[in-house]
Parts: sequence; structure tokens; C-alpha cells
Amino acid sequence: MDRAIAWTTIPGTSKPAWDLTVVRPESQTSGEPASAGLSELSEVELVTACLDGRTGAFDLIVERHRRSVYQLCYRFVANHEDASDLTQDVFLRAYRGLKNFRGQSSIATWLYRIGVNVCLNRVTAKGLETEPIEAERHVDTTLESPRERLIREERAAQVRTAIARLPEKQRAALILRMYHDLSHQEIADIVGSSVGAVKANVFHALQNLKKLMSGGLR
Amino acid sequence: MRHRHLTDHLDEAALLDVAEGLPSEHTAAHLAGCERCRAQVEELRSAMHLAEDGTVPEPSPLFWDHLSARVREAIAEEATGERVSVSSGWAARLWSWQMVTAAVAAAAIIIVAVNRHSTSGTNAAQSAVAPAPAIATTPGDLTPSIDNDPSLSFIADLAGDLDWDDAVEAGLTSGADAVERVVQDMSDDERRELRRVLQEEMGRPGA
Repeated sequence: MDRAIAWTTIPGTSKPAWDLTVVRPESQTSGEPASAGLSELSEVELVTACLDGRTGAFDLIVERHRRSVYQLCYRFVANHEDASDLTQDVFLRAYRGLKNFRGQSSIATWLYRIGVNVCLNRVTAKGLETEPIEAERHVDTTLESPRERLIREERAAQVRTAIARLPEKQRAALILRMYHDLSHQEIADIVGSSVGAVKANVFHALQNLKKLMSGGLR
Repeated sequence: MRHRHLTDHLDEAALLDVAEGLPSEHTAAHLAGCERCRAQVEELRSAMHLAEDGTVPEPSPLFWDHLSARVREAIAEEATGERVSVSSGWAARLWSWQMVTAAVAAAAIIIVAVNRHSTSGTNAAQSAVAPAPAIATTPGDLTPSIDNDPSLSFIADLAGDLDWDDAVEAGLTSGADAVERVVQDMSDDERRELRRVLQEEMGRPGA
């Protein structure tokens, strides 16, 4: 790394006032990818890098977590368009709130907390517009017959729609527990309730899911 | 907890713990003698299996990079003080995509229609005048020059001032998921090429 060292004399003395300027190597500004070296950073260090304005740091956070955040949002709203808008919103809010991230939870858990709030606000404001079954796409179907695939896709769509119709707290608890594998304590921290309440919500969510499915979701 | 006596059934939290495979000694002892609680645990496990079927459909492979670009763009816009709606950048890009898609689709339909029209017209004229003449014709004979075709010039003049709303009203546009569907139908090589072109375009200043 290049260092440009300059000094001036402090007025009235012969002592130099050192002025050390660290010059970023050329490779970091043009030739080398901006995210070089970032992948080795811990989560907290990555957030610090974002706050320091290091190019590519937040991109890396987005890249690592975009799929799980999208899936979280999709399960709340049950359609691709809203889920993609919400995912963008989650990351934008996360960027705005980076300075509040203390590393007490993982970035994923922190993003889920933002995601749950964003999704619940959207669902409350806009209502639910689930996606038609034929909108299913890009599933590996190499071992499936068309009929099997159709049945599976219909089933998946029914389950997603049923989950999207659960009461908000039950939905949040079930999604975070079943699909994102968070502990009851982590979920309690995210939704701001007790572990007992989370367990009760998961319990009732599962019971209601079964009822909704047996009712055919009409 | 109310599961210490056989007469007191397991509460919701305890039942869930058992269904998730985390029974305590007390709950295990209770379950051994309580058919009702065992049935409830089975119900919960069955609902969990049901929930596992609710997979989220995987979006287009291009979606992820596009999403990252949208986030980057939204952050950049916010950093420059521009207050924009969350999806405006995406909408603008989608708009241009839809315009391109609509334009390509319209052009393809017009060309096919013109070709068929002239082919059938020529054939009809030929069969009316002379039945099945043994004259070799080349495809070029049946296809009028596009540059000189007055009907195409007419359509080009009409389409010149067509904006998006007009295109929608004219039925030249496709559904919101048309681009996704087109991408789905592409081969891997075509997707790679499309991705390369998109990235190239998005990397341009002002893109």
C-alpha cells in the first residue's frame, strides 16, 4: 500500500507536524473487484465496511440474503410482484438502519425483523393478492411427470395461500419457525413477544393451516 | 406447565415441543399414558408435513441480479436526495422492456401476416389462372420487399408516435409476466447471452 508522507513545521518550533495520507492501491479502485476481501469479513465488520462507504459491502449483504428475504416476503404475500417489491424495500430500510445494527443478532435475523414489519404493513395496507397456480416457474421437474408436477404445484400454491390467510402473528411465527429455522427465542425477539406466545402462535397456526387446507380454501 | 398429572393435558407449548422432537421427561411420561395428547401431537406433525409442501416457486435466474441492481439503484437515488417510489426504477426498466417486447412481437406478427397474405394471395391467383403450373418458384418470389412494401410503411408511420398507453389500448402489449415467460422459454445459452447484454446495458451511464 502506498503512503504519501508529508510534513510541515509547526510554527515557532522546529518539530515537524507529520501528515500521513494512506493512498489506496490502484488495484482496489479499478483493476480489482470492489468486493475483493469483503467475503472474509465477519458480519459486524461487513456492516462497518458499509458504514465506511466501502464499495461492494452492502452488495455482498444483499447477495447473501436476498433469496431468504425474498422467500420470507413471498410467504407473507403469496405473489412474486409484491414479494420482489417488498424485498427491495427490506434492503433499503436495512441500509438506512445500518448504523443501528449492533451485532447482537445475525444479519439474517435483523433482516427478518425488518422483513416481518415491512410485510405486515404491506398486507394490512393492501390486502392479499395471491398468485395463480400457473404462475409457478423454474422448479426442477426432471424426475416428475407433468401430472405429478401439476399436483405438486397446486398443493404448494394451496399451502402458500392458506399460510397467507393466517392471522398475522400466527403467520409470522409459523413462517419464521418452519421455513427459516429460527429458534422460538429469535422469533420472540423479532415479533416482540414471549417464547410462550410464539409457541402458542405456531401451535394455532398449524391447527388453522390444517383446517384451511381441509376446507379447500374456497 | 400443566402436564404433571395425567388428568392435566399438555399445554400448547409442550405439545409443540414434542411435535418438534423436543420432549421433556415430564411430557414423555405424560404422553405414554395420554391418548388425547398423543393424538394432538400427531395432528401437529401432520400439519408440519403439510406446511413443508408450501415451497416458494423459484423466480427466473435473472431475477436475483436484477433485484440487487434495483436495491443498488434505490440506494443511489436516496443518496442523491431523490425521493422515489420503491419500484419506480424497476417500473421504468420494465416499461422499456415491455416496449421492446411489444415492438418485437408486433413486428414479427406483421411480417408473418404480410408473408402469409402475399403467399396465399399469390397462390390463389396462380390456381385461378392456371391450375398447378410446373414452374419452380423461390421463396423470394413470394415475399415482397419489406423496404418497398407500402403497407409496412403505413404501419411504421402509425407506430412512430405510439406511446405505451396507446400500445396497451391497441392490444399490442402482453401481460406483466410476459418477459418472465419469454425468459423461461430460452435455452441456457440464450439466457447467458441475454444476461450479458442486460449487464452491459445496465452498466452504461444513465442506464
